[in-house]
Amino acid sequence: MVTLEGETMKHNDIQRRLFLQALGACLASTGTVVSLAATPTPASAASLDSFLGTASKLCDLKLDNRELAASYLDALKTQFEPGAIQALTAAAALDASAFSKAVAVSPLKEVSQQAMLLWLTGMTTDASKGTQSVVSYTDAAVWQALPFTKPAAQCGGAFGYWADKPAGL
Amino acid sequence: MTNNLKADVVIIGAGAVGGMLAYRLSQSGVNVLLLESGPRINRGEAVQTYFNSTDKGANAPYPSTAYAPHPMSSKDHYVQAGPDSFNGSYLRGVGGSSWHWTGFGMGFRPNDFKMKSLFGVGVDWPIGYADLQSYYETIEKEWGVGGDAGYDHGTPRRVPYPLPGVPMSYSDQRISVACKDAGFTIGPFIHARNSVVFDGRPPCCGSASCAPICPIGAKYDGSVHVAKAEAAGTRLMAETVVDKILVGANKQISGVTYRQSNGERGTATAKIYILCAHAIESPKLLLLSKQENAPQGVANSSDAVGRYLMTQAELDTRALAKDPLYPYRGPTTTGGIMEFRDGAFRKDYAAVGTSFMNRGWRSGLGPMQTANRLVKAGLVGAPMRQALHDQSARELAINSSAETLPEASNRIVPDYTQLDASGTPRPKVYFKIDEYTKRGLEQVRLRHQVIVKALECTDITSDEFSTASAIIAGTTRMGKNAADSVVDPFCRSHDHANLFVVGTGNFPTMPINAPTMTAVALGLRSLEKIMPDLQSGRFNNQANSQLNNQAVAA
Repeated sequence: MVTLEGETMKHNDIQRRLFLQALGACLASTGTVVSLAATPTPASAASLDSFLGTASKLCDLKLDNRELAASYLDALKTQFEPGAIQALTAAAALDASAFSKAVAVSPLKEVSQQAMLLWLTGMTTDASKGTQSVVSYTDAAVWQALPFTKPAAQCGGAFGYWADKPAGL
Repeated sequence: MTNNLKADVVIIGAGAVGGMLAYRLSQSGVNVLLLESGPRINRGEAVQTYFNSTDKGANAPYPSTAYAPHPMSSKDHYVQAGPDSFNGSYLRGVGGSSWHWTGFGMGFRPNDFKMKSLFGVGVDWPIGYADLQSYYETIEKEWGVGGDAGYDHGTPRRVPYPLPGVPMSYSDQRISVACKDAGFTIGPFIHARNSVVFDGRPPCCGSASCAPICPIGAKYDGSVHVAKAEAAGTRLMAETVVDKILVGANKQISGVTYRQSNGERGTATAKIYILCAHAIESPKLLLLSKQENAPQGVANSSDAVGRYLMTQAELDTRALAKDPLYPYRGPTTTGGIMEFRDGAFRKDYAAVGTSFMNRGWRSGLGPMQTANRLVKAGLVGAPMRQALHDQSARELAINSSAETLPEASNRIVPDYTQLDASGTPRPKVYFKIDEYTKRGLEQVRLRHQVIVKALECTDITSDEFSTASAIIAGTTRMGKNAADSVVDPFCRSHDHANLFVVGTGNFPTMPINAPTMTAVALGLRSLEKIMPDLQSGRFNNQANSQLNNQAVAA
């Protein structure tokens, strides 16, 4: 007897295979060979490391917050097939040229963009409800990308610092 | 359970005005009961609430409560009756709306009090600059106002600023250089934020979030003097919503009824009552309190309560300058155009204040919004990060605010068909931006074009005219004529001798400068009448009067 859950799993399996085929074609076009397992695994330390590696490349920033990585991976899992997330983390192994080409093409493009938005804004979106929530405002990666400032409602320096051009810029 | 509280003076509203008056009265040995509808606000918790907010709006750190709701946006609390949307923001909490104010320490200019006689528009105030100057000076010392003596803001001075000035931002300076031949001056503002350690509060550390919250208390807010009032003997009751003002047969106020967040009800009686719950809640309470002895509402024999609502109308322009300006640093605003805030042109069109916003295109969220655009445009990796840095660093945000005129049809009334979460009628607002104001903003549009050209800007966007969130005035206006005003020149109700209504609601006109200092000055001036009344025992019988039980039950 096939349960509804089983049907769902079967459906997911097909989607995953289709996704992996598409990703494989996408990566092949870059001349890169990446091994993708057919079955995704839970967020392990290794997958967190890989996710951080991919996110760092996507944002061109050194991202190393494992707690945020776990939260963002969980958020992605609500929006994308497991295979998509596995492909995203696997992309960490690509060299710069192959990486740029791979994330510019569907289906990796969509999950990559969503991962970037999570990291940069620190906010997640519940598409079904049309609502957003903040995972971390002060650790949102945009602040890391803007060395001349800092999160709003955090001190920027000694009194009057704002009158000067930011140091080093 | 019903509590019956007594005091010499009951003050309704623990904001910048209520806190200062409570402090002064308690210092003089007066028994003061200070009733505040909203909660006490913990700064650290409020900052965290702000961080967790997705919209980072004016009230993001201060959630509305079910027992004392306030607007979280222009759409969720006001019933907008149009034709224009009214966006004035206020909050209910100990310290009041000064928690989210920008923090400017300026009074009005002499001409601001004489709009009708000088320019033929609006009305004249029944008082002038000279009547308030000494109070402005007192407030500067209480707040710790810092300014630069090298700039003439049009407000005559007799004493130096108590604190050193707050420097203009790097962005202001770059704009000033670029616009040096544009025919106007860009100068620093006068601040109610510490430039040095003052009154136990630290100097500003440039959080770029003054509106809605200063994380360290460098910016003055009303909670400073509420705390001082409590230390001097004031009894503060937070989360206590006054829901009716009672009028005796002799037309004097005989008490107030209140409900608390825990559901308890009570009454409070005093010799004198001071209502300073800002320009929406004060008129709403007066109108909701209609009763046999005040059939049109308390203090409303003139039918002026709730009318002559004013704000400022705004034009915002955003652009990318050719060179980096490095916004998102410093106080929210440190500089602007000095001219066009007063002058003979006010016969023809509104005065306008133009400021440059250190908080970038969108306070607290601008870089996130830019990142969102760049990612969706397909940028990845270094090109995305570099574009994010480049665009954020070059953001120019210009805000211009024009005065609006007092019109009887611009008003707030309780909407008995639309109740808030506490079961109280929501404020229904009728508002139309007048043509005089629009003409002023059209002048500003040209000025914005000059600025963006001088800075060689691209990506230029100007909004439609809209009403400001920062200003709410009128609605309990001051005048000598009881037929068309609510209070006299000392903020005493024309109808009820032991009721004072104080705040920006008193303003007959609403010029360009920030209103808070003038509201507090009016409050301090009202003490010229309140103290002698208390000392002479004029209303002693009123404090001992029995409440009308029927009215209390209602």
